[in-house]
Amino acid sequence: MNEIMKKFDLTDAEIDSFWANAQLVKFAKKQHLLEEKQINRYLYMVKRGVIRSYVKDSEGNDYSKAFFYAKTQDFVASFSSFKFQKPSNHFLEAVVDSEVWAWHYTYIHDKLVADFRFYRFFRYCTDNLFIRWEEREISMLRETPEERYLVFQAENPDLIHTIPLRYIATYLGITPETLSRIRKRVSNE
Amino acid sequence: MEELLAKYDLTPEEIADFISNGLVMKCSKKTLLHKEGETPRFFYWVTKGVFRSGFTDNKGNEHTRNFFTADTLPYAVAYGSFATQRPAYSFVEALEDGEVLSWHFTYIQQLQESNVKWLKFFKKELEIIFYWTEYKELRQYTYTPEESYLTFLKAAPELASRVPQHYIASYIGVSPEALSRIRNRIAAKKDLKTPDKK
Repeated sequence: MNEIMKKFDLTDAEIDSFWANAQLVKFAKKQHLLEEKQINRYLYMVKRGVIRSYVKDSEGNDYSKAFFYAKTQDFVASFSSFKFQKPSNHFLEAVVDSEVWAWHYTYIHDKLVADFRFYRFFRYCTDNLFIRWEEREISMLRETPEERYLVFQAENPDLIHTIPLRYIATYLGITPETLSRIRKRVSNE
Repeated sequence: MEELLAKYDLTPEEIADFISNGLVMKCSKKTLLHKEGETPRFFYWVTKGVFRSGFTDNKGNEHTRNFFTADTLPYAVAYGSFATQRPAYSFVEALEDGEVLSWHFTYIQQLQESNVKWLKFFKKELEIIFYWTEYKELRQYTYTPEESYLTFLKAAPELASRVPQHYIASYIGVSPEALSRIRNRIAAKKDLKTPDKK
């Protein structure tokens, strides 16, 4: 992350200050960073563990939207809720015991307004997220579940062993049984 | 917390909004909330446990400045340094497993600028902190260690049994041995006063 910040001409002192303004918080397995209808006050980044973003349908079934862990180096938030300080339409949950950095909305907002370099850096990070979500949307329409699973496995090799497979199944848009059949087929080949 | 805030005419909605902007932080014993020499970016409100602020003098001895609990002084922060965003030469640590709510400086600032009730809250509470700081400063010249200890006992009786004695000694400004002698002396006086039950 520091390397990316440097690319946008932020100085070492400014980068240090950015981290000093984050609060390092621990979340236990299954604990929520954000629940539906709450206003997302904080922007997070994972230091240790896995954070899952998910939505619930009217029958209470949940669907994974994204997984965040230290290697992804992503900002984590319900972005519409964070940006407009309005109730969130999804959940953020620690899948395992996790530790995250948290920046309050007012701090990020003030930085974005006051410093164009910071604005460009932040825009770069959110663009990356947007591009990945766009790719996922297209893959959901065009690729078979097996193809999607293979891509997911290649991109997140450690995650498969760390988190419950049913979370991965809903992320891929299939049932846990289908995922289990795919995994058997893939390992036999 | 809600009770105290309600005294400043803050509505349940305003209080709920304030709390929802805070981060709940569980701290295990010995966790450092703030390091000596750093600028405090966060305002901490103790909800569980006992926290302590202190500093190291030029001879390397550690002194205790304050104890923080939910019921006594809940603001575990070097307030002057926080408000002026300058380095604080004191640390804040957890003396037992506890919990705090934390808010970033920019949020607290925005809160005070947008609502005069919040400005009043922080001003009044700061005045109380300021009173105790003044009192502590003069106490070391005007009180005997025994008087200081008795005042501490009276102000925060439950702390006296909850906090390790050597921290209380460094709060009053005496050695642990001297505090132990003071405690023995006070206990002896009490025994004299207690009527014989026989």
